Amino acid sequence: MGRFILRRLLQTAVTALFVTMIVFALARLTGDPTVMLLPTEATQADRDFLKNQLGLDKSVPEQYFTFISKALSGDFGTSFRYRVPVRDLIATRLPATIELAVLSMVLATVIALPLGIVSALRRGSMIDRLARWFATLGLATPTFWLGLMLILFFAVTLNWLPAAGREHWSSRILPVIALGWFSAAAIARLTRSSMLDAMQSDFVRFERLSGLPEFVIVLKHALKNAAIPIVTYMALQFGVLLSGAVVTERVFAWPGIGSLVVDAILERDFPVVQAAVLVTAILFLLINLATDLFYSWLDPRIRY
Amino acid sequence: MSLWSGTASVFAAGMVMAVWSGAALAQGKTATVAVGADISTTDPHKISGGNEYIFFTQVFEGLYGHDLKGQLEPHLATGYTVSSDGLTYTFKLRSNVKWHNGDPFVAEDVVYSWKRATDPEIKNPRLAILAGNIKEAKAIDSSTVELVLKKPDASMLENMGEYWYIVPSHAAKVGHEEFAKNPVGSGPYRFVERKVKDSFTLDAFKDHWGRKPGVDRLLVRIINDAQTRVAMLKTGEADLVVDVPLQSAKEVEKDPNVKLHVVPSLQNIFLTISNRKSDGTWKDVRVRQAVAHAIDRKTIIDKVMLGYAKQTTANCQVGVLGCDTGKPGYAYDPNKAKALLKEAGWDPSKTIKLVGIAPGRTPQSKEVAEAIAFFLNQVGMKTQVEIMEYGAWLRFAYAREADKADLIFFTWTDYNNDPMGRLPRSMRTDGALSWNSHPELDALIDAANGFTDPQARLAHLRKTWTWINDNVPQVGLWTVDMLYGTRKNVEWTPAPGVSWPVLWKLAKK
Repeated sequence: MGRFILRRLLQTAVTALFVTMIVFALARLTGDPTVMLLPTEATQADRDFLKNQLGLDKSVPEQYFTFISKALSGDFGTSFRYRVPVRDLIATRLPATIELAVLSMVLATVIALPLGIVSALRRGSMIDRLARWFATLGLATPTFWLGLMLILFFAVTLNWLPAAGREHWSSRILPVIALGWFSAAAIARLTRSSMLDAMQSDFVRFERLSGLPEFVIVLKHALKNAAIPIVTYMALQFGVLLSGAVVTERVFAWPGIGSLVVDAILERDFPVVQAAVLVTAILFLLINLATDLFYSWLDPRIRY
Repeated sequence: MSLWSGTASVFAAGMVMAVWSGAALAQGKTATVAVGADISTTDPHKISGGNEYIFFTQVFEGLYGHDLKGQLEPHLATGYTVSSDGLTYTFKLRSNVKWHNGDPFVAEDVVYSWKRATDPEIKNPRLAILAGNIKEAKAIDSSTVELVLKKPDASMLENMGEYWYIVPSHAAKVGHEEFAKNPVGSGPYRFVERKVKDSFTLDAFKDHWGRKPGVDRLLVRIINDAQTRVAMLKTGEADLVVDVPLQSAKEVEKDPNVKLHVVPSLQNIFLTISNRKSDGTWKDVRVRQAVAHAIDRKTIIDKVMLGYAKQTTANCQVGVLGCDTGKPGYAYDPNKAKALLKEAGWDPSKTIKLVGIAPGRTPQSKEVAEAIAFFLNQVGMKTQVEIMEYGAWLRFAYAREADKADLIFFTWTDYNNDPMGRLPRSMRTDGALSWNSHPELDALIDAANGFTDPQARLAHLRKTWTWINDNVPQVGLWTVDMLYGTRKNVEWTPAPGVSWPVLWKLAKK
């Protein structure tokens, strides 16, 4: 197990390195940031000076080496546009993204797991039909539209909840619903189909014959067996949420990583793009590692 | 069941919180302003774009600036005299001015502000417009300052409010970086706090020499999404929103709790013609005039801009110095356009390329480019549209590679009514964003700032705009209206001619 974790951590580091290379190169293909940073009266000399200040006059490999060697010590450089340390920008926004991701995932799980299980157990019933309707609607509704509708209804029409920001805890409710519904829909569907398979398997039939109470069979044995695809999906979805729910963050003016990166790309703020992508890539990879470890608890046949 | 009761209690708690937060807002005298983009700096000598002025207009002042009606007025000065050669200006300074840190304003501060604005270490991006032309600044006594210019600059006073802010010499003691972190100005609001890409907070400055804001605090929040800004206005989370999207304007107008403000701005929308194209496509003035006659500006303004734009004539707006040429501009006349093309021997099989800007930067930019192409096709100019993302477009516009385009859709915001901010950069042969090459126009532009008599200068500017009108180096389309929304209990009138909100007199009932 120890060796496995070590190997995976090494793989994580190598993957993260590749990610930074790709992002670094792609960002530089988008053009010269000084065009966006200087006003129209700037001269070529001004541009050259700024390029020099930002280190953009060096060769790309040289710039990359500087970035990586500093990043290893936690220094991601200075934002081209805002002239503040990128580390501070990320540090102030990452908690908001993590919070939104965790809350959405909790909401999704709390709704989707019971719904998926009940709808598998009561296949064809009214609740199953309702659950499938809920799931289809959740998967088919674009998040930005749902976000705007929630704002329109709960904030503008009813005036119950704030439309934007992160000041009060009440401002979390709408973005969490907007973001959580899609995940809930997908998890509910997956839970239903996995549970249907599990409930029809031989071991469940055997356990029923041996007289185990139904709730023990369902919750302890069937669910555990059905869990691997569900956990895999949840981990992936959580990774996606952590990398910034771009649209939701924008619609609700949620001060997270997603909206930071989008603006940074449009503004050619390379250091911010690089650092944000690196941090989220590492988080994503670590979640994947944790998921793999979780598998062996779910299914003791899986050994590393 | 437990799930439902849980959800219900979450909503109930949400309602309580919402009511509570609303009550808290009403008690204080804080006005929340929602804007679409963050400022990039709080250092008045590092301003690089128009959206920064939402901060600087409230916190800093120049010797001269503009009043709430857009007219030139003395700010930190009370008056000036100018030598007959137009090179030496002597300013009398206002006596009762205090900096936000309590220090009195003195002539040395002006001298220091010149040194700081021209300090190579600051690398002031706007140096070329004003401060760079000052050869020397001298404090004659504590309330008199003399500025000696390198060459006459008739636009200087008009530009003082935006291009050269005065800072206290205290900045020298704390260092450039620290000063930018905690900027000290003399404006009606003082800096409190800034959270990058989130918000900044300003407090009313009680000791201001003349202005008294009607609120104690301004919280300016960065809300990228335009629909969200509108929602915040409707819920009362924002007292004032900047850039109401055109599509929401009617809906905002109908809401009894809010008010829509439509202000003509100096955001010019025009087509730049690639005049230097090597195959000579645009050499004949009749071809350029044909383009100007071919476009039905009124229909585009009504249908695409939803009425929120003002048609321009020689690519300048009423109020811009010298724009009142008496020329009617180019009416929509497709037959005349066709006739002009025929006279000029236009080859109808030829395809021209129009470069536009992707949505997001300028209202309806993509739709407008497509509409223009439609009208050009109607008169027999086969037009192909290429839409570029703003950053790519800007790079393209700067590169000025004449053979790579025929017409380029442009947006250009003037900062005041003096055209000399735009003309040298946009229309003079070597201008950073100029696709022109007209020696006659170059000579007119070069001479424009050499006048000391304002009337003579005005006459010269009229002559310049007349030349532009007749020779069409660019095709003027319209200026975009600025759309603001305020809550009904907010008292505020937007200043004309600027594309940012001036909040000196904002009040909340």
